Amino acid sequence: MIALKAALKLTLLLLWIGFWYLPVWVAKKWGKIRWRDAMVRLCYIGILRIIGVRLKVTGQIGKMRPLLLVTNHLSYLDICLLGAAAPVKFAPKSEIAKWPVIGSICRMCNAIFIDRRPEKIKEMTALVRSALGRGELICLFPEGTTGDGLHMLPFKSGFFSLAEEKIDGHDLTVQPAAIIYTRIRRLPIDTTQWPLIAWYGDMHLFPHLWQLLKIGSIDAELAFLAPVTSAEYGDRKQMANYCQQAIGESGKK
Amino acid sequence: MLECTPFSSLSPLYDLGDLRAGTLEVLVASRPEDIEASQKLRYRVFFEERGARPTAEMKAARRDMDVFDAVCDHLLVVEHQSDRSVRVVGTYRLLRYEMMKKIGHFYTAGEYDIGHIEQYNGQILEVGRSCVDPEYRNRAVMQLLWRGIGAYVARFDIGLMFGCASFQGTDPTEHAVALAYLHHYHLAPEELRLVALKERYIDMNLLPKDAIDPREAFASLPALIKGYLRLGGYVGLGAVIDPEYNTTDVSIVVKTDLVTDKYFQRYGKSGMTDNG
Repeated sequence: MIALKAALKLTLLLLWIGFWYLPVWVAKKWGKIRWRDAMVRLCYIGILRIIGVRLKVTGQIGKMRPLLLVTNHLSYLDICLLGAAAPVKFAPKSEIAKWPVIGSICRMCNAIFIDRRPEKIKEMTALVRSALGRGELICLFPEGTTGDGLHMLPFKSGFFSLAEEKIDGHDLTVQPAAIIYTRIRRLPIDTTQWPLIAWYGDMHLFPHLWQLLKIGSIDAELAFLAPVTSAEYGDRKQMANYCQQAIGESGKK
Repeated sequence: MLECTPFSSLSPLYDLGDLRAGTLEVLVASRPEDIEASQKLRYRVFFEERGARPTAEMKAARRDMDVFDAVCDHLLVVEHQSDRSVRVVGTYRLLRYEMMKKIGHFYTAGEYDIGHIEQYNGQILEVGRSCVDPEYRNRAVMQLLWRGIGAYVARFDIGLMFGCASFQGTDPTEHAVALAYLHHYHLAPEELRLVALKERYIDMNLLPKDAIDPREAFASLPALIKGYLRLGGYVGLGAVIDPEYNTTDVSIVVKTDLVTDKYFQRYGKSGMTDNG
């Protein structure tokens, strides 16, 4: 019975994503970026509905631009939460471009693929800076990878070097946001259940997604916290520290 | 021997959604005969299996019963039989604040001072009398029971669950490691703490903290207590002996909106307060 429901949801999920593919592609082709963003967001909202995620958003995204969002990172589900809350762009590692389905979804949403080889750092930084300069809202995961749900990984200050120089004469504002998964099937998350949500290490995507679909009911919170500028925290290490602590504090009640 | 009731008229008291796994289903009982079947299951488990002493009335009826049964909700796990009857294989008794008022006090109040949590700002739910048919003590039944509770918690917007959980036998020293472990590692913060009534108070601090291997101690706990702790539950102060049921009881509190702080706490220790 549960497997049947999960299979149904999986089908619905694929149909739903497939359904948006063409309109999003057309909007992109015609340069209707606002339409495209709205459609992508609608698509994310639908994905959450199908998986059975109830999302509560607190706080607001800063109005200033350029603005960089940084959040903790547990799972591919994080992407859907952020995407459903705002027209956010992501910067996945370039390997993901080659993944089937996921890769083309990323391209469809104009993700900025980051080549993580050391010799490419300058080029990649310039790429992200120019997108920020255009006023795009970009989200980075300074943990650099997904955690196991039991501990947040230390933030890498390298990500915050973006804020050390002005972009088109403006300070880059950095806004931390906390992604908090609170309940599975309406009960607090049992410590043994974390791997159902957290997607880390060498877990395979499909079996994980299948388990996720079988759960059917997840509560999540997305808390946008006080933004800071490079003027307030000149040092990238301090900025990384501030963001990590702000996220850590907001996750505790 | 088995308590079977016809399938066709099995109508749950509240709609908790379709909670099934194979032939098993969890629901809130509405019919007297289903509640009676759950009382019979309780009798088999508490009295015949675990050696509690029934009253003459209970013995004659072969049912575990008290005044709370009439006002409580009875969450049942039932197995649908091939002859369209159902068999009650698991049960849990739930008491909300409004229902409690008909009696005037919670069951737990007979063993613990629950003043702190009666002040709690939100819906509270007492849980207890949990048992599962020995032939059905498997993951599927436990999971279904927890899912039923989850749905019930959502349906009535419960913020706090509490109740007693038991160790078998009336000698607390037999459970010294477990009790001391619970006391040292899972004691509730003061505002959520149930305190054993003075005249029944048994100290749980039977061993120093450093004499306990927390992993081993956790593994030795009864399944139900493990379940509560995994949900972020706490124990109250002091254990209580219940000679009638041949148990040593501890109190449990679970905040259902508890965010798993552990994930965040590693980096949030210093006094950051300006985070909006």
